[in-house]
Order: sequence, then structure tokens, then C-alpha cells
Amino acid sequence: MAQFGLVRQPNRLPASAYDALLEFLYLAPVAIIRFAIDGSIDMANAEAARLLMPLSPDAELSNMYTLLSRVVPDLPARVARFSASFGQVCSQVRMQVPGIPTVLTLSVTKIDDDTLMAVVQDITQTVEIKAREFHDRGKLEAIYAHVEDYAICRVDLHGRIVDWNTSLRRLGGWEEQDVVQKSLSLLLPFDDAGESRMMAFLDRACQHGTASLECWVARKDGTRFSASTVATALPDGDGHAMGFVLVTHDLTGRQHMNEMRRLASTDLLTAALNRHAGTARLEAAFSMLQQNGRHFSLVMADIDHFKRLNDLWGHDCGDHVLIATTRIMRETLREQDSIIRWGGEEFILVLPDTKLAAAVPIANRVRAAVEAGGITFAGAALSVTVSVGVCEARAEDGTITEVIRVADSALYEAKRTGRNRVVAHRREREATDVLF
Amino acid sequence: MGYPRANPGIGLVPDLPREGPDFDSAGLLAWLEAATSAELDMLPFGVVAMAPDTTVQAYNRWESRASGLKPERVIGRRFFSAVATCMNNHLVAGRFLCGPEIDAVLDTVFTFRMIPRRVCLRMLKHPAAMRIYILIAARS
Repeated sequence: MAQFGLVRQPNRLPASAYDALLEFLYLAPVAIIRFAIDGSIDMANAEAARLLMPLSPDAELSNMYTLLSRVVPDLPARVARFSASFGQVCSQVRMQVPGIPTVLTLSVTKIDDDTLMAVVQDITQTVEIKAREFHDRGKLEAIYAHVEDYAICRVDLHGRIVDWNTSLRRLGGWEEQDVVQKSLSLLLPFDDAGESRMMAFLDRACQHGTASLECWVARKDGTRFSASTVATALPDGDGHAMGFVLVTHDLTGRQHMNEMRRLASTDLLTAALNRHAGTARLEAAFSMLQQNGRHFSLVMADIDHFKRLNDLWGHDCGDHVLIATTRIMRETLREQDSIIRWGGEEFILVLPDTKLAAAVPIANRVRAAVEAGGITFAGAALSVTVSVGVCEARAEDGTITEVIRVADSALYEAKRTGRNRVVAHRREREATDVLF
Repeated sequence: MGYPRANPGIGLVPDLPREGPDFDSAGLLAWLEAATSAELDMLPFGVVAMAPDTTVQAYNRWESRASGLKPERVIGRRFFSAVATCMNNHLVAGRFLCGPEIDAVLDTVFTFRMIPRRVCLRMLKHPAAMRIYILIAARS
């Protein structure tokens, strides 16, 4: 439908009352029709023709009932049913021709026994806006309802929560009356100087457009969860912030994931890497060696006379020794070194970026620390030692299994030659050196 | 003061007698382009001449009598939105947006002085013409 813009013109000549009235009616933006009980139209304004001619089945504007036969077919019946002499026959009846986007409303008022007046309005734009709002609201509701770990809300410039949605209930148990018009610091407590820290956060969002922080978020029941919160400033027409949208992401889930991953790869007793995760670590180290030339050394450590310990003191003692030994090794090794529980009492230590010359002293430190470890059980001092085999991985070994075999053979030699010692496999002559 | 004088369009050669063409004459557009305000006032049907942006440039006597609007109240205003809103729909105004040329006739109803009146409309538009036209004749 063509809608050329309204151009305001100064009235160049004084209009007579009649001229003014005429123009007023010509430009009235609602359709006004006067018709008789039988539907015959005797007066109608320009807007009536504009809106209703497209509906007319016969290019006529002569009878209201004919004109509206497709959209309000029961209008004659409604008028006939209305027995009083005056009053509202119908109000805001929607009229829409199928396939045409225009939506009109019809209101009919009886003026006297013979006369009715109808008002018709075009509400297509309103309907479109409402439909869009409904659709947008539907999308937002879907987001609120389905994004599991997120809560979204809006706050005003003073940090007061403006509206509520289901995500606030899901994440924090907050109902509408709990939060609307309350300060955001209800949800983000900021233990000390809460209000000013909250305002500082919103200030940052104001300045940079967005700000984020990790903090505790309070639930209604007083408990808290760890969250990452992002505030985004909402601009008004001039670009000034008029409020903020806050999105809070519950990090507990992520922490759980990390926890699960850790549990899956950890030996339950000693907290060392379990064999499964350890294998992965070893393979990764070996491929780094092959592809990037990153050196690493393997240390294989085996607790001496472990079976005898178990037999003498029981498995509880054995477990205790395993835990204590792992702890001592952890304390002795560097940050970057990994401890893998490879077997019952057997450990592989992975020393990244370490060649044999550096690996050997480390291995000896571990051996000495375990010996001097002062592990006790049930009040009695235990003598715990480890035998250790060391080798440096070489790309020519081909597989990590081969590297392990080499370290293992050094370990065997350590056992064979008296235990509580470090043996390094020097490779050159397929011979091992007893070093300590 | 009279109406602004129309310029003859390039390629439109008026070949109708100046006494006055008929509503459905073939060369009507060329004639209208060259017509003076006095000549427009002589016609037995309504003529609204607009600039391409739909501002009214000529509003003849027939039309003025039928609508009750004086020409000086109308000239310079946008026709479809500020003068004859009854035509501001796809049946009439919309057609002027469709393409550079139109010569179409439409039976419809106008609400001159709020009384529904059967009319026949003729819409004229041509790329060589300076103005676009709506002609209104009574229909029985």
C-alpha cells in the first residue's frame, strides 16, 4: 500500500469554517460510515473508502453488509439482534481477508432505530509489532528456559533489578517478588563493601561497554555458587547507558567436569596418575619428542620388598606406604614432572625437557628422600626404599613401549644389584651403569 | 495567479483538438501536458496533475467542485496522504509506484464531501511526461 509522507504546509489562506471542516474529515485517520438498518451507506469519509474499497466484492461502497460479507458475515444478524434504540452493537471486531496482511477493526454503534455508525481502523502495524514482540518474547523465553547454567536479568543505572524471568528461579531459586526493584548486590553479595563494588563493576561496563568478573552468586536459600558474570551496557538513542543486561554463568558445572576428568585419570589411592592417563601422558611426551625434538627422561621406581611389607604389616600398611611414598616423590620432584602409578608398587616418573644428565640427580634425590622419609605405621618406624631405573627417551626407540622397556631393564639391574639404588641406562653399549 | 504552465513533453505530440478531449481519448496525456489552467478548467471531468513526488500541481474546476476543496488549499500538498486519502491504497496510489508507465482505468467509489459517489478513474504516467495524472469522471 502506497503511503506517501505527510508534508506539513502552512495554511496559506484563511479557511472558512466549512473548508476547515471538510479538510478535517478528509484527513481523519479513522474510517467513519453512517448506514441504515438495511446496510445502505449514506455517508462515509475518505478513510472509509481507502480501507474498505479493497474489500468490496463489487467495487461499490453502497451497502455495509455486502461490503463486509467476507470478513464479518454475521453483521446483519448482530444488528438485528440488537434490540435497543441506541448503544454499542459490536466493538473492535477483527477483520482480515485471508491472504492479505491488512488487519482492520470494526466498531458499530446504533444511533437511533434507523441509523448506525461504524468506525473502522487499520491496526496492521500494531498487530505486526505485537506479533514480533510475541515472537521475540517466545525466543527469549526459550532461551531462559533452556540455557541450563545461565541466568539473565536487566538492571537499571542504579543497579536495581528491573525484571525477572525463569532463569533466576532455576539458578538461584529467586522468584519475581524477591528480586524486582531490589539491588543487584542481593545476587552478587561481594562480601565486603558490597554495594560499592557492585557499582564499580557496573561503572566499568558503562565505560567499556561490557565488564566481567568471577564471583560468588547468592541463592535465595543463602547458599552460593561460583559464577562468571558479564554486564553489558544498554544504550539509549543517544548512546548513553540506560541500564545493563547481566548474564551469569554458573561455573559449578565446569568445575564438576574438571573434577570428573581428574577422578577419571587419577589413581584413587595415591592421587598419582593412573595407568590409563599415564599411558596417554607418555605417548604425548613421545610424540613431542618425535615431532618437536623435545627431550624427556623416564624414571621407573619400584618400592623394595613391598610384598614382604604387606605380608608382615597387612594391606593397610601397604596402602599407607604407597600413599606416603607418592607424597615424598611429589615433594621432591619439580612442578612439571608427572607421577604415574604404573603397577601395584611400581611408578613411572616423567621428566619433561630433561636429558639423562639432569634426570639422574633428580632420580637420586627421589631415592634418598624416600629412604630418609621416616614413614611410620601404627607407631613403628618403617624402612622404605625404592629401586630406580632411569633412561632418556630417544626418537629412534620408535615407540614409548620401547622406552619403557629400556627404563625397566635399568630398574631390573637396580634390583639385581642390591636395591635402594639408581641405575641409568646409557644406551651406547646396551650397558647399564650403576651410579649410586 | 493561475496554475503553472505545463511544458510539452519530449516525444508527446498533442494531436487532439484544443476544444477538449474525451476522458478516454488516446492522446490525452500529451494534451494534458500542454494544457493551460483555463483549458483544464473547461474539461467535463476532474483532473489532478501531480509532480512525480505526488505533490499537486494542478486541480481543475470539476474536481474542485466535486470535492469541495479550493485549488489553493490543495496545490503543493502531497495528494494521496494529504488531500485524497481515499486513494492511498494499493488500488490507486500503489499503482503509481509500479513501473514507469501506466494508463489504466478503474471503477471505484469516492467520498466527495462524505457522500459515496461512483466514479471512473483514469491513471496516466509516462516517462517522457513531466507530470502524472489522475482523472475522475462520474459513473452511473
